[in-house]
Amino acid sequence: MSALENGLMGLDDAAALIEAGHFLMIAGDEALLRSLPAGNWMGGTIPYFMGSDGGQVSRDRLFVTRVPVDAGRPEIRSYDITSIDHVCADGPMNGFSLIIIPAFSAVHSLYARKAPGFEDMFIKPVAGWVAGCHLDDLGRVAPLVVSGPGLDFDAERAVVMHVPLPPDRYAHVHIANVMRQGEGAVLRFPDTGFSAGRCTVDGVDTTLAAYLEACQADLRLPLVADYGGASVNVSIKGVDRVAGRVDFYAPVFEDVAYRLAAPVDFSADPEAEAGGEAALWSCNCILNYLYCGLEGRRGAAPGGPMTFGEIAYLLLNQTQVFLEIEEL
Amino acid sequence: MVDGLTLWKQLLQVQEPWVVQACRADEFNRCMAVWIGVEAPRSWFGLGRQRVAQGGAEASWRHTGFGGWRVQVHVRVPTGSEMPRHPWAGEAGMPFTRALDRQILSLLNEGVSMNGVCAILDLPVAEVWRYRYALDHGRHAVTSTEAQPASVVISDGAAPPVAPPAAPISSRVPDLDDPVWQRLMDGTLALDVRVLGLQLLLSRTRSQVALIADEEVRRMKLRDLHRYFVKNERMLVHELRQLLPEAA
Repeated sequence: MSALENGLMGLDDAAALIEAGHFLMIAGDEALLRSLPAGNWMGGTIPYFMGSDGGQVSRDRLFVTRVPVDAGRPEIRSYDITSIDHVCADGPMNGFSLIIIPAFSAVHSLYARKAPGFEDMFIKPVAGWVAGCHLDDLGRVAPLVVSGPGLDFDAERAVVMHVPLPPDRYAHVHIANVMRQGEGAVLRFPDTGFSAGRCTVDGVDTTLAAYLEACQADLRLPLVADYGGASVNVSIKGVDRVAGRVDFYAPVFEDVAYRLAAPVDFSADPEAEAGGEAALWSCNCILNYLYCGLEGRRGAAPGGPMTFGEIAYLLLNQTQVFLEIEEL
Repeated sequence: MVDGLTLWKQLLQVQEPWVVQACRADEFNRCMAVWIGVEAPRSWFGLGRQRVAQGGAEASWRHTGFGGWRVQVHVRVPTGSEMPRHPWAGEAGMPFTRALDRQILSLLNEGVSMNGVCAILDLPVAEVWRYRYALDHGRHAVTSTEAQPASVVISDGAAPPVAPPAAPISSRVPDLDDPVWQRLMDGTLALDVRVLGLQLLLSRTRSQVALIADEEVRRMKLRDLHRYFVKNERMLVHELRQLLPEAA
């Protein structure tokens, strides 16, 4: 696949791909997305990217991913809070589903907290990202997703492309995460949610805020859960010491054990993920962009949007997600 | 003390974002009416967002009875949303919820007459005829997987368990009855897992199974695990290489 068909490009090139009838996933600034013609595409707002020439913020370029159409026509549809639990069940028997969710919406919250229990979750591959906005616009501009066939811009529904694959191919979702569990205490939470007050620290009841203060934690480091060898991050948004509450960018789950991540060198160059070069699509986290100072620096291939959340089955933080199509 | 709304939420297995908004008992007719709708979304990150539209049409279906009481479920679907696919809802224009649908169909499949179905389930003949007419004319279909939450057991005993997918003839995945699945599920068999989907599924399943005493629910989790291997066998070369020597 050429760079012109999978990477950063200007409005005219993206419009030409749409008009040629290709199925596309597009990330970009809202004004640019609104200038695109109707067609077989889905999109989401975000102006941060990792391109072949490094990390950048751009309001005049789009990151375009051409989706293979080798086993029938992909289906583009929207899901709200009443239907998002069927997103995996509706996916093709062999294929994958791409999803974009508008940040801060109810469907974002619901997906983050409830996705592990969705019908066919983990059985069928689902990958995608959370649409956001320029950080200068935070709180003023609503992140949006777009269903291209009708040019429907939506702040409350997720947009999904269900993509079937031929029998000799299968989709493989994997992640690259430099964070690992540290040697500190085991943290458990009484409730699933985006904030935590009380928790247990090595079995002792306290507050997470008190624990983080006591160990003078670097708040750029996430809490990390070990899911059978896969490290899954929950990034810390902030600590309200007066209220004794810690807010997160993804939920902590009541039945999962966490530890604070081991220290990392945020200035180190990102390591290339095995197989990453061959990925059809990838995305990374806006927090990695900020904390690692990726603006102007080359990141791991193949690049993609730097998002308000990454989806590899579950909602992730500070993680690069890859979708690969493998051949038998 | 559990209040009425909470009780009906539990009985009907209503889950977020749906909530039981009201229930009303008609003691004379031994009929309970339950209203279900969508809860307004909570604000998140302190960023104000518009509320989900609460308008929309109300649909109503007869549900499975409880304790000799008839149950009528009313659902208000927000404008622009799909009709819910849960067991407590039915299809537009149909008289019964999916849960009751399956009961009726299983009785009909057992050869019970229309009058027998009406008598056993306390249903009006006209409604069952309407249902039967839709079935016979292809206007209604009952699928085995629809509206069957993966983590829920039907408590009224109406729904037959969903059959596990048959492995392809050339599949190397051990049969569902092989004890290796139980060992994998409870963690006594440890594998080096490289595939993200299996890492997440196995981790979640093990944490759930540690808390589940009900044998049928454990069996359902085991079926899910087996189904994962059958569907994703092609990418599980490394994992199957470890699993197969342990199989019976």
